[in-house]
Amino acid sequence: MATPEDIIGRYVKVNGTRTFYDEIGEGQPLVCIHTAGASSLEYQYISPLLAERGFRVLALDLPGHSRSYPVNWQAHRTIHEHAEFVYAFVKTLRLENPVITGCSIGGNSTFDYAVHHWREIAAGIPMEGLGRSPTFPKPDALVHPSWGPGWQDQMERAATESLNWNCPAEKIEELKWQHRNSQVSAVGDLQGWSQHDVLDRLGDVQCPMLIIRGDDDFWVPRELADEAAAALPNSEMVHLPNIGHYPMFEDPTLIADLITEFCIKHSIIDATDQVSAA
Amino acid sequence: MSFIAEPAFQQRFIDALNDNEEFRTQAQAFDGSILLQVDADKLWLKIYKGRVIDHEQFAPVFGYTYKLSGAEAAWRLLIDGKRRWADLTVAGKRHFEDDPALKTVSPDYVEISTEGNLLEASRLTEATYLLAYTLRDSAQN
Repeated sequence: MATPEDIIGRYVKVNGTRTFYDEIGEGQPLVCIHTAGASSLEYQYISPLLAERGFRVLALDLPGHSRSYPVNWQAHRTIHEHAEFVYAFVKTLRLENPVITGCSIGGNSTFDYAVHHWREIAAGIPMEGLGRSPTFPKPDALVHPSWGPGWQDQMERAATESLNWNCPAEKIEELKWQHRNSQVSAVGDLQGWSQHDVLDRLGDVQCPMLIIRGDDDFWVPRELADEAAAALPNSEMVHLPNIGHYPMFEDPTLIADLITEFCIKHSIIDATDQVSAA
Repeated sequence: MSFIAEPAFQQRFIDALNDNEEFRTQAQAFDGSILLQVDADKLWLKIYKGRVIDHEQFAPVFGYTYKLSGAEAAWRLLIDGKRRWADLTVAGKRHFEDDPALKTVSPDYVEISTEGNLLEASRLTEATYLLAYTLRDSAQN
């Protein structure tokens, strides 16, 4: 049985930028994109489960987050920059036909990636992402610490309050620490979230898309998630009770099973690859 | 009259806040006042070194450091456990039960607003969350 301790941390230069990623497993490449102001640590519990189910899981730290340097020492300010960086990451590692998944700004990045590169991916699986996400104003001022002295607390509360209502205290504390290495880049992430809008282009995406949303996540309104699903020609929408803004962290087994079943259904992986998981 | 105007609630809330060690820590470096407003009812709290040392049912002539205000219906969402403080206080329209056609998508909407010295309000972020949830628990009792 694979565990988080089996994950191997690696570095690669992506367009000249030193980039960190976690890797585990063999088989179908699956690239994981984390939430705002966080890192690949969010995937540490689900990654071994997915590895057992036939995936080669690669979870990167986006530029300016945790162990990855920012591109040209500037934080990204748009979701499209994130998505194109992930695309460059995929090309650098020569990953063929990967599944792309991500959560929150990573979910939005998955939508953006699919809009621009759907011919080169097996599937997109956005979690807690939207086709358009005008759910709070652009947080420009927070990039200056003297303008927003409470930014760290605000970001941690924004994260932990959107966990499911029954989340244990130790998970809440862990999630806070997962958001304590990328304060500056988090502002750019959220600027990107507030301005993100690829809704009108989702109709172009022909690859299979599985949209996952937790009912306890107030940052991602059900109606806006349904709007994105309706705009996609080849999608499934799943609303999960008792799940908040971090599905892969809150219930990794449930999400690993959903991803696996979806990928088997679309012949992306083979059911016989599930030996270890059983 | 809203719940915040009830003297018994006010005392229970202030006692609970002064018994809250985490609030005392988070507000330790604050010398100011917070005005809570529910509909037209007010509760002014003078806070010094993490403790409520005075309160009034109005804002004194020297005002307040920052104010948290909203309709009682919005505060009830907190008290009844239907919404989190972040959801109620961070601007942005995120609930569309009354608008399934999504005609009112707007980032300016806020249910409980923060006004006054926003730098101090930012610095007191965690203290304010603790205050809000202490208020919720006191109102439920």
